[in-house]
Amino acid sequence: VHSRALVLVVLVGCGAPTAPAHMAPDESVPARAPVTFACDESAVGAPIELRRLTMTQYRNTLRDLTRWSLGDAAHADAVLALAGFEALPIDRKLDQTIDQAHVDETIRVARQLGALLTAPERLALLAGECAIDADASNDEVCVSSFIRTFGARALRRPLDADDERFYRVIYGDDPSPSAAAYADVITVLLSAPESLYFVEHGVDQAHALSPYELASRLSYHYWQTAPDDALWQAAEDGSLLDDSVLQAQVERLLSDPRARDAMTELFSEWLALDEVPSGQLREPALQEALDMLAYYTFTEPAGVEALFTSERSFARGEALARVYGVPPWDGSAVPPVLPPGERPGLLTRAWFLTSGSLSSRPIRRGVFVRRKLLCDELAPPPSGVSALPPAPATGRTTRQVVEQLTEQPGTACAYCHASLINPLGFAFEGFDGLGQARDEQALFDATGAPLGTLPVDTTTTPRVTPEDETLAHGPAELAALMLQSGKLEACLARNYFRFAFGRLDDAARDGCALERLRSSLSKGGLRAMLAEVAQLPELRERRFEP
Amino acid sequence: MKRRVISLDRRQFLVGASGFALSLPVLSSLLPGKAYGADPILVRRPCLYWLATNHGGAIESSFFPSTTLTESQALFSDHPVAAGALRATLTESITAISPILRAPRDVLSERRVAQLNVLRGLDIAFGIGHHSGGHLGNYAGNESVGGVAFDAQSEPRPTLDQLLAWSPSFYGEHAPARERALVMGRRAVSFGYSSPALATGTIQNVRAAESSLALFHRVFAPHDSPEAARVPVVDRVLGSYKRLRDGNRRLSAGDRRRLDDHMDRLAELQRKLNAAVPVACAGFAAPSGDSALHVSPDPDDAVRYAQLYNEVAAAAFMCGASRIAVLGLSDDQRFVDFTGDWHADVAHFWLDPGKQDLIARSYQRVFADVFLDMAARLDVDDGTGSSYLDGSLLVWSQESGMSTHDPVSIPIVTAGSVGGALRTGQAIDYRRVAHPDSRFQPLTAAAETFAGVLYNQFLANVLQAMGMQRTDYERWGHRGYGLTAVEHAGTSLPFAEHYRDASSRYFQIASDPLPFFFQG
Repeated sequence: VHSRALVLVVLVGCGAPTAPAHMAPDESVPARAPVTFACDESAVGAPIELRRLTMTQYRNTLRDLTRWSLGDAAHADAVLALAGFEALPIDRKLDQTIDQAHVDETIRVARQLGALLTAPERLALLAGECAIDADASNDEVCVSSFIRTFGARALRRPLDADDERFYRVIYGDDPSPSAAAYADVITVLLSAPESLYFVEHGVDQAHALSPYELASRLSYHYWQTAPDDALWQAAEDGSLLDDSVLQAQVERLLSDPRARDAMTELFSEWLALDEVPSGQLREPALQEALDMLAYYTFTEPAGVEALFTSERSFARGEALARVYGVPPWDGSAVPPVLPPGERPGLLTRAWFLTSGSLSSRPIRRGVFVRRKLLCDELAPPPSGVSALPPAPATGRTTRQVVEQLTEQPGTACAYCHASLINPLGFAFEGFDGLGQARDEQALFDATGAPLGTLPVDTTTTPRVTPEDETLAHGPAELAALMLQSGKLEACLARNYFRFAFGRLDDAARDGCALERLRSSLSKGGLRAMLAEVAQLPELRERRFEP
Repeated sequence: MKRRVISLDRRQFLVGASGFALSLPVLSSLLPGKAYGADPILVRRPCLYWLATNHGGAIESSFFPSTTLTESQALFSDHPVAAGALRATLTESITAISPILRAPRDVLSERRVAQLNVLRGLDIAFGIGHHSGGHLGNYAGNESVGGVAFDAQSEPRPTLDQLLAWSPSFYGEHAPARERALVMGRRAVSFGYSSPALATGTIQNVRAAESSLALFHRVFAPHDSPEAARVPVVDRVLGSYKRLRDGNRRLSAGDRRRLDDHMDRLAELQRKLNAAVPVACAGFAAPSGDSALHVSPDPDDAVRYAQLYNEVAAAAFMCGASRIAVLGLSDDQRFVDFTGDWHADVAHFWLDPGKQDLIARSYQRVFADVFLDMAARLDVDDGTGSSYLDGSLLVWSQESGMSTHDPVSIPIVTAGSVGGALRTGQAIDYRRVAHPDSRFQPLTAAAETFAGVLYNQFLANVLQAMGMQRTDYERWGHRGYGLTAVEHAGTSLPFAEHYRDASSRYFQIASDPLPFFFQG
């Protein structure tokens, strides 16, 4: 969807630099995304309305709860394979809609899991021998104990007496062992609002979260699942509210492999990896991008400079490694070094370059860099400018065709394309649509017959900031200008904020948090930024509107 | 009279299912002969199937019939509307209404031609650009970034499938046992309220079923019979939400709204669990494939993908399990052999003969293998002497007109007469032909066309054919269904001159019957 929008921006032209009525004045100035954020200590962030677990988080939660309940991961995984998780909808953090499929499918999965966990061979593992023995005297204790222990982990906080009564009623008047009754209790617990949502009441009028609420926030942020025993313990004894304990917990969470998996979602959303066109190299290209990000976040922690200048290949598969001219990476050793100067940084890799066909897409590349990596707004096109391309040209390079199409002086298209979009894309014309390096572009006629070649031109004035007229000769120099501008760091900080809090950022209200994230990224690198979020009031507190 | 519903318990279902689990084909002879017609309560009600394809870009001379339009009626004194019977040319093996609207003779029979309509000259009156919800009236579901289309993003409304699904005028007390509307395919075309039962809250995309087989099981498999002695578990779940919603623990107003939305969905689930699958549905076997397994960019795979959804929708219509289905096809489903970026390499180059050929061949396959496939599935005696197709309406809409991204003269193909409410077998041209204020020349005079009437009016006619009254769908004093807005002057689109403004004559008639189409 977004890729379509990007292309539409380009093809319908781009508006004059005056502010359209629907845009705030500062938004109307292209290429003016902030490089730092003003912190107004008195500003209050937008309130959060009852956030829903993503279905990834819900799946992970049920997986870990099942493993915890059965005490045997292999056994639990065999059970989980039958739970029908595959029917759960796929969603993203920023998509907080509640639709019928969420409700229907989560209850169906909860029922299925309830039935599986209470099968005769598992009931004792789940609730103890008392759930299957013939001793009627322990039945009531058995049920109550199960509700209290399993319920606490399912709801992610201890149950109070009222909670216990509510779930005890679900079991039924008769406390004698009943798989169906236990299954019902499990179903309701796993479908309850405290399971499916981040239900947060806070502890006082100062908006502080309870230790259990904080534990959940940390755990779901860094691991996409419910708190483990250590975090639970820190919540239970209240020590999690202590700064040093919290910091130690964050360190522990970040050092766990689960953090890598969780941050895959951050990186995928930031780079819109789901929009990479299909093709044979798609999966290896996505894997390489994620490996590269994980490497500079966790394995060799570094900042955005390493990310955008690295000359190491993270291509694991033969085919992609062959495109790069290096041996495949085994995933654990030091990654191979690429031919010098040929592919510096994240933007010279297949995930970004591939277009689904041989043709490069400089407009799409330019819009992506402008919007996703620099966080610049592109002014809307004037109304009704038609999306009509010229007849396809033969005998000219892609750059020449695009220039002819979009940069004619005096046209509505030229303002944005000539100065803000195309130059960013042209810097990558040294790579075709399959990600292969090239100095010349092969040309074909309408029938596909070869017409010869023309040299590609990667020299541009990218205007990373509006006043910067520095020339860039290819991706390395463009990356240097982007790094020098500070916009890469500010933009990534904004993306991380959105990921962390499941809402869009607001520079006026969230300036303090954004600046802390940006600053930590700038000074300490990617991993430091991930850690910093736990120090923010936005993560430790919850504000309530009436 | 009390509604007559025959319910099956799990055991009965399994006994019945054992046969068709072995994949007996769906045979009309298996259907109850008097399922609806003989029952004054379960009288046949119209079904709506909507096939939405993106881009458009089919040049008009390829898409529309060259049939001589013999009838004319003045919409306004300076705007005649023309119509004529669809004429097919026959070769040994092919029936052709137009270069695109052609199919093998056994697929596009004389009978089928008489059940179709081809409508020309329906416009969305602003540059909506790419959209997904526009097919069904949510013009806010667009991806434009400027002009009226951008402003429209702040005025979402449900798509008409969701409006129908939750309207008492459509289902009334006969809401289906499982799915009010089958939302299918990879293109997000359906939008509804976050609280649909109350028609309140935000407008959000209605998630499409990603697997036709899972959808079939959702629609046709009866729920497990609850243990008689136990309170249904969904009631208990609902209780857990009420308890939090109404309890003493601190929540924000926004939290409560979200809980309300969730409880609405629980109530809908409860309703579905308490309803019984119509007994006629027991005659349908699970499809022998699953759309989720046919997602490669291969033309045959694309056809199979769509037909598997058709199979579920047709079965649901025929047995009364649902009366609405929408299928959104995206351009990464390739109905012709093509590798690359369809949007950038083909759709934008619709004037290039080679690319136009790809577009035309692609749409020809959609018509012959998807749209007519659904028509054929429903052209079965419904027990009253007419067919399910005759009692229904099938619509195929495209995202744009012949000029990719431009909503001028969006081509529409329909099938079925909704029990005679619609005339069929016609080509109808609503364009204001030859009038200079209505002229649209995308790039070249060779591709000239004209603005006609509002797409809003077509949507309103569909709603009326489905039994809706104006009061059921008109909002804010505006007629028709869809946004009331016109692209302003100074654009290449002809709308400012033709439609003038939102109070102009075309908006005034936007709920009126379309000439030659709707006969009530």
